[in-house]
Amino acid sequence: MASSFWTSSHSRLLFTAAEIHASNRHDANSATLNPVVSQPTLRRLRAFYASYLFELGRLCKVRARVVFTSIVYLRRFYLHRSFSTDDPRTIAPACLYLASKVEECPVQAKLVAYFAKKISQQTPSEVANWGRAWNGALGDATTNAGERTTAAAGDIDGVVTAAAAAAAAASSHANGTAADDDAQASKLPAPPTAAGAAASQDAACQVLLQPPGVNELLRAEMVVLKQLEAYLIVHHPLRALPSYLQALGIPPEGEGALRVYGVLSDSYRCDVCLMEPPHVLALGAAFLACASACSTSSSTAMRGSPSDAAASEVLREAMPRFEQLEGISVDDFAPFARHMLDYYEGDAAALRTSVCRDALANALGALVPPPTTAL
Amino acid sequence: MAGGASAASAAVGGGRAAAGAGAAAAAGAGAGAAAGAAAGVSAAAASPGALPSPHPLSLYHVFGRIGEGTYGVVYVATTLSSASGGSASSAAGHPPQKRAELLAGARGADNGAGGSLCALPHVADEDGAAEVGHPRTGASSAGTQRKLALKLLKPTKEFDGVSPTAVREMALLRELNHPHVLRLEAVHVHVEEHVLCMVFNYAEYDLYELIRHHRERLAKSPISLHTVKSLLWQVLQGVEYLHSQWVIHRDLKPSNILVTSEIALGGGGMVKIADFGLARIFQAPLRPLHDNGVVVTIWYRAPELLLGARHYTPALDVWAVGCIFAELTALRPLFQGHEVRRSGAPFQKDQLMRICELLGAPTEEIWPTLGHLPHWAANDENVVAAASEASNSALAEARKRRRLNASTPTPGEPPPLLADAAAMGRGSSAHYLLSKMLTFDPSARLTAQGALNDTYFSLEPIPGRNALRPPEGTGAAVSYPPRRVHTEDRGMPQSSEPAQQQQRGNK
Repeated sequence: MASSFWTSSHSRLLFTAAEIHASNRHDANSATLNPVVSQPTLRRLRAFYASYLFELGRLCKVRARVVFTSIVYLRRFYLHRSFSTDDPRTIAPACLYLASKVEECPVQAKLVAYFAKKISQQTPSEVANWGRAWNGALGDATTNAGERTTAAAGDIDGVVTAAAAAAAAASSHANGTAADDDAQASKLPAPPTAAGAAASQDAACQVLLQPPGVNELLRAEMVVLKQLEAYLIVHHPLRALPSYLQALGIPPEGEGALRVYGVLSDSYRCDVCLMEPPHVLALGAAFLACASACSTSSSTAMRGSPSDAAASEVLREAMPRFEQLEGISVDDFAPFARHMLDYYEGDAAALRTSVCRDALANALGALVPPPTTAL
Repeated sequence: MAGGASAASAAVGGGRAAAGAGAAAAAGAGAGAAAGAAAGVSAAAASPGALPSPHPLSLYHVFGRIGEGTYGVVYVATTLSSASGGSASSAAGHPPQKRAELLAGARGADNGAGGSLCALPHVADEDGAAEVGHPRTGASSAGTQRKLALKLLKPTKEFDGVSPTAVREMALLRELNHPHVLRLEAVHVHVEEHVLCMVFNYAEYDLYELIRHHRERLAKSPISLHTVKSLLWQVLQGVEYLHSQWVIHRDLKPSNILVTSEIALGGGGMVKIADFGLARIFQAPLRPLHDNGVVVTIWYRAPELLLGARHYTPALDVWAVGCIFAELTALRPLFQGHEVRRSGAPFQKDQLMRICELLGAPTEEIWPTLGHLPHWAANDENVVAAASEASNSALAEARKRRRLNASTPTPGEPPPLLADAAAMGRGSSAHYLLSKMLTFDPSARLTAQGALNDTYFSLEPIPGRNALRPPEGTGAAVSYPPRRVHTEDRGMPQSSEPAQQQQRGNK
């Protein structure tokens, strides 16, 4: 419960990468599908709908905690269930709807449905920019395969090096995120206004974002509740984050904290949020933010504003303090850091491309039969 | 879209079921070996529902109704079959109804061997027939017919989805694990019928019925001191646990405090705190607690709530426990105010006056934040003067009837009228404890932990684990009537022999 993560159901509902990889087995192995939907595609589908929930939460004006909870629901749900029987376009908003009740700030079903419809009208470039601030920050420039290999080899220095490379272009991207639990999700990384706002929606987005009706949403809420077996309370490090930051000498209100918060948010966009306990998510996010700041110090190109530079300085200075944390060593969040880097380089970058969205739409089209008119 | 999806699942689901079952069997064995590993992924990888799932009630032998409210209906039931053994592998091939129980048995066996409480918290059944929240009971219940209470919530079709009350209760109970908190055994969700069913262990009695039995059937003969003390002790233990988990119950009253019968698994005469529909986590709420509207049944409502406090604390549960304590000794509610039934959370002045009659009027001296409470600050219905008036006239009345020494009580002594009303000796340890639980100022009120440390509990008789069985050589236990079961019911899927007979035979 609120008091102790370690006696909570959440602590028993953490999964290994292998377990997560083995999920959606029906989708991945189904002989009826041609072509077979690959594991990376399924992983990207999950990532896509996690980002979708950030966007939906932003529009519904719910707090970050609600979005985080809904994403954990979504991911737990698809550990067991198949995209082919449970349409993510209905399940994802249902997760947010249920999470808003559990977190005691309910949003009406018709509002959730309304905003799901709003999202479906977004342009491809808007969709491509979901969560861009942080994905872009650490992901875009990461193509150095050599350093990637070092990171995968498992030593923490390698991670730092890779993070440094990943973050070479990072500093200019810290934009308005809020660092505490009271932050509205609406302040989460917001998509920049698309240049061609009038551009028509492409076919892939049309498939991926097809909105559910209210009745479907209400039904899906029951389906989610059933699959989750009413294990609904999820722990997030949002409340604890400021105290962690303080321990690292990062002012909880500053720009540096915002970067940490951005990485933390991104951890819910990938599978790692099911794998690590909350404190590892928080400290891992801080570590990654610090590691990337260290890299910008060595890079000569400081394109950022003075406040960015100051934030980088704060984060660089925090780096040695990770060694002094009690009860946890840097090795404890090395897997987190590696996972996040993989995500930034792989799925996050890919999801911004229309090629990837086309592939997802195809996969979803293959998995979910087209709506049939009721007899 | 929904139509298309379900048709597809029916078409392809059959083929998958076999593969899924095999996988689940293999994984189940592994999970058993490594108890504590949350191997839910593989164990629960069985296919999504292909068969129409059964109505929750059809999974049990339902004897009858034991309660009804706006939320829905509570039934008493047992599991369909007494055979609860088998393994995960055999379970996987069974039809949904059986599988649920077999899985329950298998879980229990696994954990009996592993001796671990942190085993997988759930068993997923693709038909949603059942799953078992806490594995321990499976082993101990092998071969016995466990009595259960099924709380069937009203269909949610008309409303905005699943009621927040139900969500709150399920979510909290899934995290709570304490001998004096009623345990949620399983949750059934029937998607097609919009039915939610919570399964609890059955508890034969509740404090409301116990008190009523003494008042109406036993000519007001008091509940034994040992029983009162044990009940209070256990209630406080449960409340202390809830507060340590940052949960405020918010609706403690005699009818929500259940007590198990002698034949209950895990021990008879055990308090089980129930009904968490109003409970909430009070750590870092996203919205003020006040937003949930009026909480706590009026007779047990703490003065800060009556005066319109917007922020409240676990202390309100302690107030309610104090009221229950006095009701156990006096056999009637301590503060029986008349409720103003009006929309918009009206000021319940009469209830507050009843409190002032026994405890005196609150002052800023004893309750520094009193002036900040809306109804007091606004002096609604002239409450400030009325409180003194109520207090003074109650004292005068008592003096007139010579129940009270004319001398004013010494400072520090608990309010004398409280002792009379609660049928406690003036200045007794019970009287002192009660007055500390009924302190006006919530921040000065005894905490549940503080109450447990009170001298009252270290004096004879020492509270016991079985509240209904007196210690050796101190007389016979009172035999309480079992819960009334209504069997004539409409909408009952099946009827069976009344539960009463079963109970009596075992007593």
